[in-house]
Amino acid sequence: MEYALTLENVTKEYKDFKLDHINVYLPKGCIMGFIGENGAGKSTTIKLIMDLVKRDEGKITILGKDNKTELNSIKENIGVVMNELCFPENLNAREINKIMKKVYKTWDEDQFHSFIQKFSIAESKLIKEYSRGMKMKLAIAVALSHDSKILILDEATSGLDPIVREEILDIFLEFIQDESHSIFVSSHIISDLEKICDYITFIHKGKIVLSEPKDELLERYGILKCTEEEFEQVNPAVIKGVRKNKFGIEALVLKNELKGNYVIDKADIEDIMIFYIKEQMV
Amino acid sequence: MNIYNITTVMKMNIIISNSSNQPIYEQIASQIKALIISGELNEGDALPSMRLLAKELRISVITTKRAYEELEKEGFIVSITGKGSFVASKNLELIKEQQLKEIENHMQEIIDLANLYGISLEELIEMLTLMYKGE
Amino acid sequence: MTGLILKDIYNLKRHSKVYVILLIFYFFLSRANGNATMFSSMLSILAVMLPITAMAYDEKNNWDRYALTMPLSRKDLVLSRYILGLIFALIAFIISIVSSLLFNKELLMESIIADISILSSVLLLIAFVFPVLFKFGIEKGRTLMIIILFAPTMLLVFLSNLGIKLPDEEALKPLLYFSPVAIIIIFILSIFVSISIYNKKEF
Repeated sequence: MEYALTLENVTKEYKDFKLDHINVYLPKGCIMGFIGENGAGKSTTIKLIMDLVKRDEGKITILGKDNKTELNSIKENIGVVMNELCFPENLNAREINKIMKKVYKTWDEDQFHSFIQKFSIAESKLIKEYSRGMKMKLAIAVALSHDSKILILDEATSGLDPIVREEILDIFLEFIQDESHSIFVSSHIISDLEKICDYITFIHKGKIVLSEPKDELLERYGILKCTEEEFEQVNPAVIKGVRKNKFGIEALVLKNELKGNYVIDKADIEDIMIFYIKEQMV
Repeated sequence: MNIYNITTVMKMNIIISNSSNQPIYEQIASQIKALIISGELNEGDALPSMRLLAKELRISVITTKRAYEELEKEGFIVSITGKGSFVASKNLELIKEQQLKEIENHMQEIIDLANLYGISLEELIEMLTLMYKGE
Repeated sequence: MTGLILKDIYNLKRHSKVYVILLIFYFFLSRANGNATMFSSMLSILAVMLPITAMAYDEKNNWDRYALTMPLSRKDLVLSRYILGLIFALIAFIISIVSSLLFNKELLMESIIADISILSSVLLLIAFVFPVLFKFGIEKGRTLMIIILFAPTMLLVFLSNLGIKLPDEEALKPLLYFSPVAIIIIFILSIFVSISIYNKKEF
């Protein structure tokens, strides 16, 4: 199996935060959603992938190449969108095009123009006057206008209205039609990721809590709703998180291993994440 | 393998429900199966690519892959790397078997009910004959 | 790397109209006063300020972090700024030569020496200030930068107040012949220092 991205035992220690031996494997041709609450380590992980910060331990490969020794040779094929808005503010889209032509060997001017048009960005408008949504769209246009084989996005959709988010998700799905293309996208807006991701990796306080195909996750977990008494009867091994309210219990359970006649609701990714975090906090 | 028609992808309707208890890949597989059995999809017709299906239905490509794998396992479709997935030669026996199985299941339900309410075999046969003829 | 320089030029372009006007104003002011120093000081200051302004924009816009995800290395990012500085230094040099030729024909030799010293001082300033900026960033480095800019003057004032006799012109002449080489060496050393600073930097 070929991987578009691998992180093995990657560790990075800061004064008050540690990214602890994380392992991530993204198969080629797939979309991986990287979810976690704010401060969980998502941006740090992406910075480590792009060698913007140096790791203390571990190994990272992108498109099969080591990210320390061979990064420069594959940057042509990586499209990155950061969560901050990183363009020089006094430029406009036309000038960005001229600059990128010199930066990327595989820069496709026509592709860029068609994105700019599709996103209704005025070519002579200065970037400092862009709305947040426009800046994001510009960044995505840049990321997709050279020979990118992997897109790495850090919170690319936060701060955007639902209509724009939908447009962008469509673009991602289009990107993935080519099976040599892969996407690694981090977000705390899980509903976006839930629709289109093939894999979900969940990071919490610097550790990977789970990393699995999304379908399996959704099939495996359920939300059990019952009384406290009924709850005591349940096998603890099946319980992955609990929430008490005044009128009963809600618990995240492995629904296929739960014997008996209970009310079990579907769990979505957000439920799974919230229950897991609450469980850690207990 | 040139009996397969690569030029057009048949127009087909696939409707999936997120609130159904049936896993999505099963929903897709059974709908495609039904189309093949009913004859709407014919031998050699090209199915949409797994990726295209995933994109249009807004689901993971792993799901569509699984659906197609199920269909291939049961002999309904054939996947050729680089070309796509196509409806397999109509295995009439296989289809007949499926159809009979379905009817058997229903029959079993009827028999269970009959036993529950104390209805005899003769009565059942009479009812069946009447209804079949009355069509 | 051409891309990076192009970016700085575009970024500064809109901002710099003010400077051009300022420069023209100072030029005529200098002429009126018969004192070329005002104009040359302004030229030198601008030649150093512009690349630093470009760097300030980059810092504000978080550009470097983003640029490193493109086929650009930390070395490229450092070099492009030095090249930009060099370009502005040369532009300042050319402007001052032209103005000397046009308006100061009588004292041509001395004017040209003055012009060369503009070029040297800009390059020296860049050589000393840039590593500080690369290490500490523009915001934090601003204070340090001001100290460096004024240190030579302060030192001279301080020394003369102490009554120490400063070397006179004759003694300084040999320095003039060494200095181009020295300045080039210092400039190049500065580049190496900055590159090594940037290689360790985390974004």
